[in-house]
Amino acid sequence: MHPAEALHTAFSVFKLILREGVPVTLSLAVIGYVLAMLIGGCVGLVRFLRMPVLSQLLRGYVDCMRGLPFLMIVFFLYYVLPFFSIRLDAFETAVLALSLHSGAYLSEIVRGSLEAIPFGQHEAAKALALSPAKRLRYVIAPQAVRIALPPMAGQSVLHIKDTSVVSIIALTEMTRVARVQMQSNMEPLVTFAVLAVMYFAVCYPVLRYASGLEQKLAAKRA
Amino acid sequence: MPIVSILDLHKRFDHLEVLKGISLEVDPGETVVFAGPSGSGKSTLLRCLNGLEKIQRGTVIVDRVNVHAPGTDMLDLRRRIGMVFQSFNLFPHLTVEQNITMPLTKAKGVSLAQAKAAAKDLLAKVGIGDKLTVYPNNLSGGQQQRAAIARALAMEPKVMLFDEPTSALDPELTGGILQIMKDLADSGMTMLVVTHEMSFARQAADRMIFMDGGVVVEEGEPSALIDNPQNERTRQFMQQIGLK
Repeated sequence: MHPAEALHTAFSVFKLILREGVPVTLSLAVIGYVLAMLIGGCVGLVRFLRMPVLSQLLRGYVDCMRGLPFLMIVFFLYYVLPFFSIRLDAFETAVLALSLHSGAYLSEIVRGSLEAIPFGQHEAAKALALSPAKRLRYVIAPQAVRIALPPMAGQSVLHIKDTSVVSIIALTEMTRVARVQMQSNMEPLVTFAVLAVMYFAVCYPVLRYASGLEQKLAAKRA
Repeated sequence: MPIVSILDLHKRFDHLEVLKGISLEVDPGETVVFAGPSGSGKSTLLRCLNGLEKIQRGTVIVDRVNVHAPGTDMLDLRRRIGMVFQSFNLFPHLTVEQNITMPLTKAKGVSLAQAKAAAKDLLAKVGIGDKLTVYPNNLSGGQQQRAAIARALAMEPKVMLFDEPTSALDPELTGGILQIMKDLADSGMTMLVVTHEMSFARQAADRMIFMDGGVVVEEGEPSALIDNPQNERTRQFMQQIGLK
């Protein structure tokens, strides 16, 4: 293929992915991750506090999400929920799958960060007559957030990449647009090269941000 | 009337009995030093006084409050008991000033302006009046312990507990901390101090209690206990730490 021709193909693929795929992918990423952070924060906190019964139930949820393939979770929600008269469209299903999946991983980050705060911090806060809620609010949580932020930013990259999996349930996001294009232009190399560059352009800054954050917060603690 | 009364206190960690029936009283304004080999239960005893540890049997009364009774308002009790730890335990995400103002405002309901004034005053008193806006990790161990003492004193406690306050410090830094504690004792504060610093016991303590194996072995005037221990275990301990 002539270079000019390749460039032309690349540009038309780029435009199509940008117009039809990027809005959906970004919506999935942003809405899904915001929900995932809410889930992760709540689940992580409940498990850190070892609330009876609820803690064990949520542990089961986290183990399922971590122990099952993401694609299977997507299929399960898409094909099985309707049997229980729960009807979600492809986008809703995808958001639900993504946020449940990422939320489980985030909850482990949250729980681990809370548990990383030394015992002496709890004791000093107790001895200073702070109530359990105030100990969490003013002593434990602020320190845990500093530990949790870098891995949470890193986890968001995995979340963005996982959005490509939901193309399987006929959701027109970036990967699906590229695949459809490839089938008509018969140029897999150019098509997927464009797709790769576009994903990387989103993920790489986030990766850099996460490691920058890690260094900044580590320097602050030292 | 004693401000601290302990009667037949028993404390167990699983199957390990750490305190085997301690009874003692401390009068207001008294400074009592607890000495003894590690594992003798002296730190645990201190931690039973403000409820950091639960107890299995006995009674602990501090400032007329039965510490381990079911309905006790622990927050109210802890406002009246200050504690200084071996490892300082300052809050690393807060400046030295905020380490003092946060508990004052959040646990005691003091206004921020008043809390700031108290912080400034107390930090000057413990010799780090220039470190208000510094984070704990940028302070030396001695400065951190000064800040921790100021933080505890800011709550205006009636009793101060010191759990090996100089054990984590370099030898050249302990003197300053002990001087602050001595001044505090002289000012009439009730103090219960776990320490191996016999010079402090001699100079600042009204009484010394020697513990071993979860019981009080011997107690009395500090110099008498250090120079002329009556009990064999006390004698051995004093020899081991190089005094006597």
